[in-house]
Amino acid sequence: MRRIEVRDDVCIGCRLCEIWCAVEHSQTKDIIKAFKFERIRPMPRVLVEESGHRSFAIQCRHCEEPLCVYSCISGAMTKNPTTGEIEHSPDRCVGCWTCILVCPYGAIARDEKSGRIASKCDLCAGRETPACVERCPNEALRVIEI
Amino acid sequence: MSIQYVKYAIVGNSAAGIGAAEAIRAVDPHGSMAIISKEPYHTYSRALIGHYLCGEISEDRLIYRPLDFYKKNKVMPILGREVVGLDIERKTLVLSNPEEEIGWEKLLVATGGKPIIPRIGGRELAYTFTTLEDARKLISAASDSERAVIVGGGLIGLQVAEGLRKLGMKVTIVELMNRVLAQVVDEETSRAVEGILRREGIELVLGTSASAIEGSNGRAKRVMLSDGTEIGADIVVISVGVSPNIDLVTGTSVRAGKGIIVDEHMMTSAPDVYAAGDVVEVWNKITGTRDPIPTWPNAYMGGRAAGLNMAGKEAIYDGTFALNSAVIYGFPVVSAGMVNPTSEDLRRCDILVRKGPDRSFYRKIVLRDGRIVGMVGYGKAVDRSGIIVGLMRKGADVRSFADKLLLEGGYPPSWFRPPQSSETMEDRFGLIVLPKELIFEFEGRGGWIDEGSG
Repeated sequence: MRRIEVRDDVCIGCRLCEIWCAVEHSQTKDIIKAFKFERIRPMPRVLVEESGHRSFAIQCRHCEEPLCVYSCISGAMTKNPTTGEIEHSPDRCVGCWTCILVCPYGAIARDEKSGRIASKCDLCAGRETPACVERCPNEALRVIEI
Repeated sequence: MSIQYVKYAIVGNSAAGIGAAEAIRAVDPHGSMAIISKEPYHTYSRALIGHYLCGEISEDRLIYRPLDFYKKNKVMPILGREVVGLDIERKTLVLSNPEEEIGWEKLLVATGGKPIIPRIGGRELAYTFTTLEDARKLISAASDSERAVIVGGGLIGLQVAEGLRKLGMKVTIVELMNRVLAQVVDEETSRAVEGILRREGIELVLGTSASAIEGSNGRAKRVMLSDGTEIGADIVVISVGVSPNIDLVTGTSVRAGKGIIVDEHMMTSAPDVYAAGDVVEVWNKITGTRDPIPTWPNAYMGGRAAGLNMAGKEAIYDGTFALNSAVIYGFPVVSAGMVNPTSEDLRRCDILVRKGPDRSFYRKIVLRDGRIVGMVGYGKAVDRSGIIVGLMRKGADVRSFADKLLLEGGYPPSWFRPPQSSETMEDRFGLIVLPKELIFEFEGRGGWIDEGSG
């Protein structure tokens, strides 16, 4: 089962992970079209936190005990029984934000533009390597097997 | 009477019942399990009926788990039948319609709550709003009604108000306290919500209660208020609160106060009988009292803890606190713990507050002995608020970074949308303000339930 490791000792705070996450989750997956022409600019699911010269990128930890899944009132947040990844179904989500209230990492965002739904990392389902990991210039995000 | 037997009998088909069923199946792949519900429906979320009422979602979206849930989890659904008898010593229960006796090894009582109905004249003319059936009746009634009066301005009352207003009705909320959501949020947040409601044309009558409902032929005509005035109404909805539905255990050896009393394994005073969800009273870590805390996350997690214990895996659920998230006409509000400290509480507490202009941001944090015991906020203060709740659950000492708790969280990044204020990314709230050992202590195990190796 794969997860993304956060390495705050080597993060340079460039925010390329955020940009490429947004592109990966856009309609066209083309950076120019995503930023310039798509009607709704996609939201990144990873966030770079910064304080002084410290920084790190953080996204959904795909917890073993996912509080968001336990708290979701509609069953939109589920845990994949094989991979353990936490999956979010936009068509089941009603934007109640209960998941946001319970996630201890603050890893879930309110996406009001796409119709009031929650937004979080999906480990780039269908991709060989998550976009943020692939595009990080300094390996501050790394895929690990657990 | 035919006698069946199941290893695990779960009475209740909502959050706590499903939480238990999933937990049991994760530990015990084969033990026979039945979920029994008075309602005839596949498991659905009562927390969604407000969204259904206002037309945001269709009825088929109310289901809480996929339609193959029972089959996949090897659970026998016994729906539309009531438990009319319970024998704790013989470990049997009796179903109605047809009458049937079922023996059980472990029982979970997850019968939820029922609406509180004040003993006022004409109350039989009023609607309540806790079940799918209630929602259907209200939608049907709204189609040929003009005026609605909602008695009770709590979370449910506001959902009904928004729903009926969106269905085109003239809506008045009558609330006993001097503000809406008095049990859930603080005064500032109540006022912000009231502003939104009034903007949408909903009338608020605060500090008053309904003394009687008058009508004829099963239809309401007006509501009489305690201040002597009256309001015309075609529909009256009573939403003054819910109380634990303990009927099933009344007269048995299972002890109950306001709700069924359970220990930290979610077991009642009767061995092998567990209870969870809105029907129980739990240890409130923050107030130090035992209360029902009827919210969806607490119900599911209580059910999960009960299920684990029922299946033989020890899990400790040693207390919780109030957790609420609500959206009123798109306006997000969250609260956790003790948000209205009394003057007694305030002797030991510190309050941190920050408010932005135009209902954009408001967060209040209540600290006691350096630990967060309450949080309430609206607007952008909702973003990443789970970090604060995590700190509350941990009972972490936040004094070294308390000033950062009021900053706006950093979602989405500044290049996504220009920052609204002059704050830079450096002045943001997030995990980064926490001492390092606190961040990684959460790793994947942000759980409220202590699932030991036993």
